[in-house]
Amino acid sequence: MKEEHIKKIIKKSTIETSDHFVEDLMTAIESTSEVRHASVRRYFKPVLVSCMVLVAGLSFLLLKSLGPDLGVFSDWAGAQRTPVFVAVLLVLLYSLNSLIKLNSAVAR
Amino acid sequence: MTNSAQITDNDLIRKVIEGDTHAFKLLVQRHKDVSLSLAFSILKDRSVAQDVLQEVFIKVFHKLETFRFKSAFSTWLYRIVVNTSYNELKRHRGTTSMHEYATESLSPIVEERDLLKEKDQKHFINLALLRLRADEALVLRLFYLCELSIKEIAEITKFKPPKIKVDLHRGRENLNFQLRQLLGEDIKHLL
Repeated sequence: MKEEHIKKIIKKSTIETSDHFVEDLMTAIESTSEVRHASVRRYFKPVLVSCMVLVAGLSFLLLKSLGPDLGVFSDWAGAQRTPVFVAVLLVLLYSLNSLIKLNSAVAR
Repeated sequence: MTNSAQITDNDLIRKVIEGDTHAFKLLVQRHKDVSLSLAFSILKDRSVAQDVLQEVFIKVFHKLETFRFKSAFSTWLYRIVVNTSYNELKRHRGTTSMHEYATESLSPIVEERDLLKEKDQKHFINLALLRLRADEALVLRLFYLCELSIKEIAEITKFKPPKIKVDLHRGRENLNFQLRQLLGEDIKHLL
């Protein structure tokens, strides 16, 4: 059999999907998207609260350690508090930004 | 109003990434039948192939942002179809043999060979392709149906080019043999 005959024959071999394939697929896609979105939404608040608690705890410890009578960080006692606050604030904002980005990426 | 046939795959992908699910529907409409034919070449069962295809399109929808526009969307899609189908085949090998798939899927109408209308032609061609090895049927479809080059087929299947050439050669011979077995002199109606 000639090559062009084989080509002609194979061109006729396309198999069609069932009539409701696309509708079923779109429904499945919608439901998987909802599950993904819901799972992120469910974890968003706890993660945010834990981050805040963690950052607050760390700031408290850091500020306490910067006190004049604490030996471990006594070398830091002379350090100014404003840069520490700014650093903590930046970390907090960065965490928030990452969480928001994650949420919108998965929700799309 | 823009005709949907004029919109390229890449434009549709950009729309999907922006959140337009209707664009994804158009993308699916455009590629579903060829993709199903490729999956069927490997799995030899239409309903299993359709389930795999649904899984593939769901995967594609969620991973579309990772598409880099360096190759054609069809090449990227066919690669996922082929990989997922071979994985499914591996999973099924322990339970159902390919021969069982073949006889289950298409045997009931073999007797009706005097009427070679378009639908029947398709039936006999698919029956002949079903009797080929999965690699041969897949390579034949990628080469003649999708009109891909050996290099593109190698990219999709991860087969070495010499193997692809051998599969193409054997596939052509075996298809010819199977069609002659099924149709005898009626084979001329296919051409």
